[in-house]
Amino acid sequence: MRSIINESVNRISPAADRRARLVSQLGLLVALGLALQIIEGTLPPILPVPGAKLGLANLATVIALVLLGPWEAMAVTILRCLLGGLLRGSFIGLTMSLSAGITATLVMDALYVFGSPFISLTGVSIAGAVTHNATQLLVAMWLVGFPGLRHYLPWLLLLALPTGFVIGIASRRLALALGRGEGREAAQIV
Amino acid sequence: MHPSRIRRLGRWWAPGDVIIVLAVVVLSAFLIFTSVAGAGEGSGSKVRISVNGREHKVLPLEGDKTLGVEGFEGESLMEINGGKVRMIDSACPDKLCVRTHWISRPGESIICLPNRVVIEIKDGSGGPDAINY
Repeated sequence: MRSIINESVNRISPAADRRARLVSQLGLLVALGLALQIIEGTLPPILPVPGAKLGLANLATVIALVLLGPWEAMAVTILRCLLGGLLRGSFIGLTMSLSAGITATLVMDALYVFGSPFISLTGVSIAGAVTHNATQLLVAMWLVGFPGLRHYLPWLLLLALPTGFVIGIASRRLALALGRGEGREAAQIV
Repeated sequence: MHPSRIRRLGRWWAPGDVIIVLAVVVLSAFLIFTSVAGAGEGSGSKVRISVNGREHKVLPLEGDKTLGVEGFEGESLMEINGGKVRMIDSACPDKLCVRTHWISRPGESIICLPNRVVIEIKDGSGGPDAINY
């Protein structure tokens, strides 16, 4: 039985194998983000303001950023927002989560790729949460056409500090645990 | 995962994180300061109700009355009483506007995003105030 499996695996070219791996990993992370997003949606909101939430779904994006790379993180974010928007069926919700998700992922990608030794994953996640909340509020202001929402902006920015911190620490632990499972060389380094 | 990716993770914090947090705190403090300076003291004298970004009605902030406004998803019911205004009920799913409770100071507002109804307290002076941007 084992030899049959090995034979069939060997018949796949290394490039095709990598592609298959990438597709399955992306699919897993999108599903993880979507599940976290739905779980978070059932929880009561922390503050009576759009954008004030823990951002659990951002875990999937940060994990993708660490394990796969910046482009893959962006793919996970966009797919998760599109599927989440379809599930909720709200166009405003989709606009807000997609725009905030994309800007936050851009900031996190840039900080993780270029700021690596000086900024840890915690800082990357905090910056992402702050960007997410700011974008979401700005889009809300634009959609409602009312500048009074700007009074919420500083509180949303401050709220992003603890939520971004928690998500950053959680993604670091998760990334280490997932990395450990993948190979002995990796385990030795950790 | 490639080993280099794990090494890249480093420790759980780095000096740059502190700079990010400080920058956000300073920016927020500045925004809070300008927002408080713009809100003004005392009690406002007018209530402006907007629906979907357009001004719907401006009422004096006095007496005791309830008022229904047709929003994007249904009716929003508000109450003016003793120089304060609040949202009693709204057709929105989250009822966050109702939980905002009473507002009375100029610059304060109740915002119902799903129903796109905004209640603002205005100063009686009428002219555009200097800090409004």
